Amino acid sequence: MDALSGRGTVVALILICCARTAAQAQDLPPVAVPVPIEATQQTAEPAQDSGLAARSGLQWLLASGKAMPGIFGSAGGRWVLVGMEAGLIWTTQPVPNDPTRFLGSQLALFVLGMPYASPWFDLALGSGVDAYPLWGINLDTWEVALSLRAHANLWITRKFGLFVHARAYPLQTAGLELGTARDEREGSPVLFGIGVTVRTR
Amino acid sequence: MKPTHVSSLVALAACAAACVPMTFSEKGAVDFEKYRSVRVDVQPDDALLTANKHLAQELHRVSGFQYVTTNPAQATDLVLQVDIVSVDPPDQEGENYLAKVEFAAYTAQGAKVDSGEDFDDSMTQAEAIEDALDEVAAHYIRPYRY
Repeated sequence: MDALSGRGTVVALILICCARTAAQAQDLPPVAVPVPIEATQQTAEPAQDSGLAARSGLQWLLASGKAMPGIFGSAGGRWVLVGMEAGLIWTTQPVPNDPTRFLGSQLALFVLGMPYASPWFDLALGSGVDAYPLWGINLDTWEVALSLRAHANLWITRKFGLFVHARAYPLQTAGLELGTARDEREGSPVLFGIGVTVRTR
Repeated sequence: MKPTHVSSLVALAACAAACVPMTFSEKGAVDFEKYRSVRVDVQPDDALLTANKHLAQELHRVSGFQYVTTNPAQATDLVLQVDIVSVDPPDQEGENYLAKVEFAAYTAQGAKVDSGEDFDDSMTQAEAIEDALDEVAAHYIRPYRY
């Protein structure tokens, strides 16, 4: 009986599919087939409401000779995001005869405008302040910079995504040298970060 | 997922793949190769505050000087004179004491090589002075380049 019931279900599904295909081919109204709610949400355009949404995630800043993991969070509406970051800094290229490995923290506050947003991709540009309390070196040592930022997010699902952040420091304290290596070699002055992010909606 | 979105992210990821150099550095307030030793002279200094001893310990811990002493009989490359200019009591309940200090480093010949002023606050008078002296020690932090 169960086997017959299963065969009947399969046949019914095949008939529905065939009927739908045939209807589309003949430009006739298709047979009504229930579509999962989640699927309709995935293909729908984003709601044009002004409600707040939050994002958070894990990031890794790509500085050579440094390990810089961190977390971030932001909140805002369709056009503006306000966020913060917090991370830790280790040197992966220790100085000879110097036991220091842990350098301190990385903190940031920023405001972004989001000129482009689709269900799968969004791009935000803005500015903020980056601070580096280097308490692994000395408790009273801070470096601070004004940052210009660009955030690009690729949403793998509706709530989970990957991102790339880029930042440059037009103003920075003397002890912070973005784009200059320890041996004075010059490089790109743009610091990238990558990571994973989730959003509330 | 549109191809343009994927290509945009791939391009950004390619940029990100190139780690950029980033250096934290401190050049040093004075030439620590030239001035290797220092004598601390905090005024006023009393038995309660032991300001000289505190500053010497802090300099020994964080500064670029290889030798720090409070003994006036010892010859050193520099003498660091620190004046505790003022310790302001709190105006209102809940506020802190504010200590201000001025400092200058002199060679054995009396030439001034560095000077400045610092301040810090804390809940007690002694702690405010110690915190201000910590700021002086931090001014002479050992040079680094990470």
